[in-house]
Amino acid sequence: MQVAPGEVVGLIGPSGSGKSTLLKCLGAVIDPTAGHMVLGDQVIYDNGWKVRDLRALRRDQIGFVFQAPYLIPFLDVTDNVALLPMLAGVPNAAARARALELLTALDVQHRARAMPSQLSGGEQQRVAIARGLVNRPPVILADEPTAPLDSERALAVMRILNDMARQYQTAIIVVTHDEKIIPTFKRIYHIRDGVTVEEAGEGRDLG
Amino acid sequence: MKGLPISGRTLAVLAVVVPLLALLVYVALYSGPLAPVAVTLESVQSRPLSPALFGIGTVEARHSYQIGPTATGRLETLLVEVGDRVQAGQVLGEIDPVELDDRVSAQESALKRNQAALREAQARLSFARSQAQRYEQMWERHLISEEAVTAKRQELQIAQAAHAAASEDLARAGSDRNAAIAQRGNLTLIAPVAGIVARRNVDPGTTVVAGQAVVELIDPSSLWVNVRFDQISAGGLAAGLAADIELRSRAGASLPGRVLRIEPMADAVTEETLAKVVFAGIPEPLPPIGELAEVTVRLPPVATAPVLNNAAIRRDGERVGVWQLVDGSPRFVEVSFGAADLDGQVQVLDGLKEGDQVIVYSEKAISARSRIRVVDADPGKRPVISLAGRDILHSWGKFVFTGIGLGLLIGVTLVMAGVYRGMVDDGKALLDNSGAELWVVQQDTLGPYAESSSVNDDVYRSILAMPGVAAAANVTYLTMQVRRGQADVRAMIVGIAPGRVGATPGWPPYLVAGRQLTRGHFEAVADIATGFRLGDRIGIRRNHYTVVGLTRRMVSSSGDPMVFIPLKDAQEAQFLKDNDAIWQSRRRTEANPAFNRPGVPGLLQAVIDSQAASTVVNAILVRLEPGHAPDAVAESIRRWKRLTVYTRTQMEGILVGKLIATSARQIGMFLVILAVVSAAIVAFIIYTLTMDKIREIAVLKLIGTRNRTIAWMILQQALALGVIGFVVGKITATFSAPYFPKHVLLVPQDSIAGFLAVMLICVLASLVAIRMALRVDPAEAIGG
Repeated sequence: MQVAPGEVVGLIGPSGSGKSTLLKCLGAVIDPTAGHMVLGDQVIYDNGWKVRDLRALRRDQIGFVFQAPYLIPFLDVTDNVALLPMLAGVPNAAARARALELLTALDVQHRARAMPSQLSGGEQQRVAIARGLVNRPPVILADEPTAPLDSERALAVMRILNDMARQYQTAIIVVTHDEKIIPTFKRIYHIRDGVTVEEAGEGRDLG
Repeated sequence: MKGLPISGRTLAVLAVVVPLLALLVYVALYSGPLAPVAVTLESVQSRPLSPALFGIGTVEARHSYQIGPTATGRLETLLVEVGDRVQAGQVLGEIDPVELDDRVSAQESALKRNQAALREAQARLSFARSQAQRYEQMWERHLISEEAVTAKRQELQIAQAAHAAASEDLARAGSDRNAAIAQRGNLTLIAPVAGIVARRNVDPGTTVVAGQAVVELIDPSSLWVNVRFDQISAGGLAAGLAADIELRSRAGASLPGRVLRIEPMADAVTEETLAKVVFAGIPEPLPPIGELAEVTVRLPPVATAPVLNNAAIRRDGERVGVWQLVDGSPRFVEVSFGAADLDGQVQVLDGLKEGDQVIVYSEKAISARSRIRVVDADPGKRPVISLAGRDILHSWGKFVFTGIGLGLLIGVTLVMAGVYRGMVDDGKALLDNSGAELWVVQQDTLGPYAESSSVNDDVYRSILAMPGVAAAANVTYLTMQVRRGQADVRAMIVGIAPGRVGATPGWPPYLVAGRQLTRGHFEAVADIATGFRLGDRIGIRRNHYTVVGLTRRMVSSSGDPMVFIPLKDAQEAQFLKDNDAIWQSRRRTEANPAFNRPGVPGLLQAVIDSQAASTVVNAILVRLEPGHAPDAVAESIRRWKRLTVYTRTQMEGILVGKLIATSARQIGMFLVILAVVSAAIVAFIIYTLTMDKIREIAVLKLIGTRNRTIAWMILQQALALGVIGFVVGKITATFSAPYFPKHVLLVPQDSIAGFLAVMLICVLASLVAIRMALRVDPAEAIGG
């Protein structure tokens, strides 16, 4: 399985097929039992060996977008997005400027000072995407990012992910079984009977 | 959370926390030991003074007549009842003469026999005289021998002697008969004057001995009141002064009278001056003999002079004077005082002038270093607590609400610590307020506070004479329920010896309202914790006391508020039995033949009187002259008076080390339990709050947040909860403390220790939540 910078690929399969497990391995959350994993030119796993600081790897190299936004309820939108660069040592003003830039790109800048509980589901998901992108990681792992959304909003999210991938040259792996967005992938990894099979997607234009 | 920007939420939190902290600072500075002393000022006024003396006594008859037989006999008839009015010469009763009539008859017979014997003697004398004359004539004519005429002369002399003896016998018999008749006449009981039958001691059939009173008559026009005045305040008492007499049965109605005389003999035991006060007119209805009466004697008025409320009089070391406020700070001014009236106004002789302002009331004792806050009146009144702050906190949400809940628990913990401090402080206040440096108590006792102690009330005089003793005063302590309206209030009744305000140990050192005691009876100064107000009537035993002054922080070692009353009243209250018990005691005494001896009429009453009187006190408070070491003087008293003496240090040791040690241990256990419960609650709350954020923590871990950042976040929350809890607790404890039935003293050291303990508890309590948070698998954020 290989994903290039700026590319958005789909990871699909029936329930229980191991999509999430694969995503956790890719996200350096759990250790794979075998195989190797390379991010850019950095080896992360190699048959039992792994880099020492997986937490820093996740913080600096990997972005996550979840099925539920999981925003920090006691931080406002800007601070939810700016939290990661702040934790990484970026000055507050710079982190917030970067967050605001992303929020603007995702068209939720007008809710920058709102609390998460004040946002709609779509807005929360866009803020979650902004949080995943804010550290400009080379790879973003998205777990069912459109599951709770209707078709229009789901396609909008996919459009954003594609735009972000292009704009920031980020490789995005989207785990989904959402039939609405599967046609938007140009390339799909299908997990079937424990085997990952690469398939060509429709690559439908998102406009 | 390092480097987080200040958000609106943070500002909102600060908006609540900052005022809370400000409130905490305010509470610390304006309540508890750091708070300024609230005082009330009053000006020295120039006005006339009407001094008066107050005493109590009993109604007595100036002339009373104990009427009884002069010889033993059985009472046959008694014609009068108690309360009957009788006239002079009226027959009141009759004693059965028994054998007296026979004795009179015998004397009559003896008289007649002697009369006959006299007649016989006269006849023999006439015969002997005629015979002697005839023989003389015959001898002159030498008709008979000289021997014959000499024999007739001797016979005449014998007849003359026999006649003289018979005359004397007759006189003796007449006297005997007259005596018997007189004795018979004395068996009739006759009223010597017009009066009222006050007592009827025996009934017909009873045998009475010579001198035993059968009935007692009094002259109603001679009623007076035998009044007792404390010697120390009896200055100016003189015959002829006008007086107001208030009988116990006619409270509120004053009868005019005047002082008839001052008794030349004062009562050396009770240290009272005795006086007789007569009624201006015979009271109708006639009061019963023995009824209690309150007498106010009006002394000559003092012309316009500077006067002051006696509540302002304080003592500073050995000086007596008042506190003035100079540039916001208290300054003691020594003052000489003169006459005083019963309303508590005292004449100022020297040291102050008209218009000078002095501190009249203060909520605690004042020193030169005291911070002062002037209030308009009644500094004992507490401001009403505003609940606005609590409402604001309540709306702050779950975290703050939880903090408040925790705060209440912390508040209880602080109050418990405050209760202990309060007990210690109560003990010290008890000692401070007594104004004593030595406590003289019954030998081998821990009295008067920790153990009962009885000392004769005249011992203090000999202690006064000991070297180094400046003042010594009796004192009694009695914890009891006193009546307040329809309810009871538990109080320690303190009997204070009569003396000069500010100079006599045992008096309340300061007041918050009213005045000090001026009457020797039936007045009280009460601690405001009793709930009494000025003018209230306190029921103690069978007497009622008018509250004339209020004080604060005058409590026993167990926290019972004090009620100060005159010593003699307190002695009576301490030992006075209920009326039923008194009657039973009297009957027992009457039934004892050793006390009820017919030939000693006054003995029974004397014994009964001695049983009802009390001559003991609980302790003697001693103040020392400057330069004398308490230990040395105490040792001297122990050695020479064979009494136990405690210094301040020793008495403090008894109070703190023995009296409240058990309570202290109980409170200590409570503190431990509360600390454990607090820790458990904080741990539970932090754990719950962490559990609520478990998904967010997983997300944070997933996106690379360091463990120490998450741990610090939880720790901060625990500490914030602790801070809020402590602030709320401190405020709660401070504002609720005055409403606790016991004195609660919140000292800054306890607050600091409490704060550190709360922080430590929060740190420890957060460990469970931190451990749980650090064990959260970041994979949980992804699900699947």
